[in-house]
Amino acid sequence: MKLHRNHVRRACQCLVALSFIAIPWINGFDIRIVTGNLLSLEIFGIPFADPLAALQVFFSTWSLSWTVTIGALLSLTLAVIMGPVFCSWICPYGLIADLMQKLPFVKRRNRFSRGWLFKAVVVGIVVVGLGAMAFPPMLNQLSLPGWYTRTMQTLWLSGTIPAGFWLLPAASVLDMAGGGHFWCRYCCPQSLLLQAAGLVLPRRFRVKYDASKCICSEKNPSPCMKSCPYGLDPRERKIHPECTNCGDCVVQCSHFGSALSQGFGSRK
Amino acid sequence: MSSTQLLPPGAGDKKRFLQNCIHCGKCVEACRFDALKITEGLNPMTAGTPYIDPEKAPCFLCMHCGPACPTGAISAIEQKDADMGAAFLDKNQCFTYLGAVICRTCFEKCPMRNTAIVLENGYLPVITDQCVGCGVCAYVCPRHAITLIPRERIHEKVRSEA
Repeated sequence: MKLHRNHVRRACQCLVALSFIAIPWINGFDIRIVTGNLLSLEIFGIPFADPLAALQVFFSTWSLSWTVTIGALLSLTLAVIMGPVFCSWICPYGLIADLMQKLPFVKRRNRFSRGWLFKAVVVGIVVVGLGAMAFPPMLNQLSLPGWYTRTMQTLWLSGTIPAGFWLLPAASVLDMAGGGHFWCRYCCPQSLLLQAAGLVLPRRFRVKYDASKCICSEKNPSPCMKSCPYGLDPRERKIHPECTNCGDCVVQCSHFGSALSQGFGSRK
Repeated sequence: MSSTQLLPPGAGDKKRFLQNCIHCGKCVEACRFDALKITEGLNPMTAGTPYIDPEKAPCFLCMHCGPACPTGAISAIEQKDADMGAAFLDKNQCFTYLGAVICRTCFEKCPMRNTAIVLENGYLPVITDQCVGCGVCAYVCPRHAITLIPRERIHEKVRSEA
């Protein structure tokens, strides 16, 4: 078996999922190269923060500490340059959603071609509604990577399972019923923010398509579309905001004409 | 939720604290004495935020949680500014005041000994207005003569005594 980049991606996802046990365990020996979790991480003293949590604090208090500001900007910079790679390479729920999609009865469906727009409207309504009731924008309480983090942490610190853990299986059921990655596409507020960040630069890391090499351009759905976790068409000339640069289509295409590749390129 | 539940030292006003907390749990990891616990339940405002149940484990004012907090929800402050609540001594219950035995347990264990608790005439414990409400004295008192009142309920206590 040849080692493809989707194997590297899967390994990366698993490593992150395991790090929630590994980091506090290693910290227990007073080795503090990496401390914290996905909500607030520190690597060699460089802070990384959950950008959605940072925004939530900012909109509730109109102020933000420097550590979190820098941390959130660093995390967003990754999305600005690479697109929402967090979703496909890091997010522990992304791993669960990917594996869920391997189940034979879970269909890959592209219900709304503009899932991000649908989500933006829902999130907007939720935030305005909460604001009208004088609640802060509690979006991070709907963040599944956040709840994975808190579950592992509560388990580690007090040996109990927090109630929010049940959001994970609930979202998995939604994924099974509504088609793969349903939560990620139509509910997750975190990925919406990362998708928006991915639209900032005109040139960024993306999937590139060379029509002259394409040998299955007549087929619809083509093998690359069928391999996309989100059911997108990688041959579109415009970057789709939902594309997470997971690279599954590129690996699939390498069995055909190698018309797809990843690299820096313009959006249009 | 227990009635004497406290917020971490440096949390200040509860509303401000909850708005700033991102539920990352770093304060709980930093707590040397397992005083900080993570709030359970489904209330999205409080679930995942830290609290102290001084009846199970009081705060020893080690002040490690403030520097661990990334958002400043818990400010990095000194012991004297912890402002978590206040302890009240019932002289009718205290061994020393009753004349049974010179106890001094609260005084010895107080993290702010000689400031928050002083000994009047060298043996009678008096809780001063410097008390920040860590709960250690109430926890160690063999006679349960000390009541701890959390920050947000101090005004009720003062009103009921006035």
